Amino acid sequence: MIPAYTIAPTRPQAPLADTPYMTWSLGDEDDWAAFYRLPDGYLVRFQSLCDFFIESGGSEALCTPAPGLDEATREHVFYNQVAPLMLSEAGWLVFHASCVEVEGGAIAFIAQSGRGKSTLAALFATAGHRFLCDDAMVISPRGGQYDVLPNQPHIRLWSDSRSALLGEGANIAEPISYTPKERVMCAEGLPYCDQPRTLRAAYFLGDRRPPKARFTPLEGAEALAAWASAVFTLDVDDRRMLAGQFERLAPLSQTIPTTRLDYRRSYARAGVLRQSILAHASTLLQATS
Amino acid sequence: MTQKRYAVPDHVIVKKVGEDTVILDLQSGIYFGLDPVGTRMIELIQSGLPLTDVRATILDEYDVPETVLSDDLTDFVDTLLAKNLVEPV
Repeated sequence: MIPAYTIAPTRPQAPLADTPYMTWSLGDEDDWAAFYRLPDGYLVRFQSLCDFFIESGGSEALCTPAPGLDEATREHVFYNQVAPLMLSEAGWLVFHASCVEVEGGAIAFIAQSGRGKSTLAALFATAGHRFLCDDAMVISPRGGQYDVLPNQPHIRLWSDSRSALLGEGANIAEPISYTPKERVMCAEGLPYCDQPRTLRAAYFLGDRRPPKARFTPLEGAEALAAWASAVFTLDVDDRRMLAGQFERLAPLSQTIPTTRLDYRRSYARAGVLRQSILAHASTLLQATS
Repeated sequence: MTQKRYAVPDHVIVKKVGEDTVILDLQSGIYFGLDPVGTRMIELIQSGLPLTDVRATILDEYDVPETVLSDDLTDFVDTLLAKNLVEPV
């Protein structure tokens, strides 16, 4: 299911004539990734790193590295950025989410970058709730339910989160050139689930900071809008793809209990937060089982 | 209130989710949410009824003052027209 890519010879990034139809920012860099349409696919330029050509339909990709790109960064760009877009283009539902195992099923923490989904995944994993994915959650429908497919066996954490949750003994992978975030590999103290699990609940991470965790159920249009806001999309102007995505999102948003979670980010209260989420999820799981 | 009728153009998808409705504008990729009353309004508009009949049906089904409903329905259609989510037939 995870797509693959081929590698072209290294080449300096020549200026492109067209204006990108979409850009992604990273930190202070506005055009960290720029997206261009080509006759037979898409070109995604990761500034100073590499160009990825993605064939229409999402089945093939070709990476042209810029001089100096190391293998770890190339692989990371592909698996964390390009592969989710290819899967989305191929018709899969892929979300900006992390996911952990709870009571034999899976619960997801969904948010754009910087809201704390990786920290929550690590918080649960260190308590024995195996993680299935970080950053990109791939969903597969199955008989009226939805399975979360396992993704890369690491969690990306800022060093303060890693230090607070895992201490100094964590197994940290080779660094990535464009981000100081650490890739903490699965281990005994950070267990990984390599099998699909049925998605049982979804928590959309809000930006409010109440003293106690606040759970707000989302239903109907609100729930669908939340799911739509977190889905990976390669071409926001591709009407056929958008229509298909909409048709798949609607039943998903009605099937999976969807909750907005607002909470204060505090390592000192992380254990209390985990217990609050587990208690809430347990109630949802009992109601839907 | 008029005998005008409206339709949803091809670039717009309307989907009921629970008691609400979500409208997707494929031109912009933007989603719009409707509450249950808005859901009923768009259902009736999509069925081809003129606005006078839409208003009469809603008045039968909901406990709402006629003047309030007329204003709300006018605002609703004006908003949809402004966003190109419906068009006159």
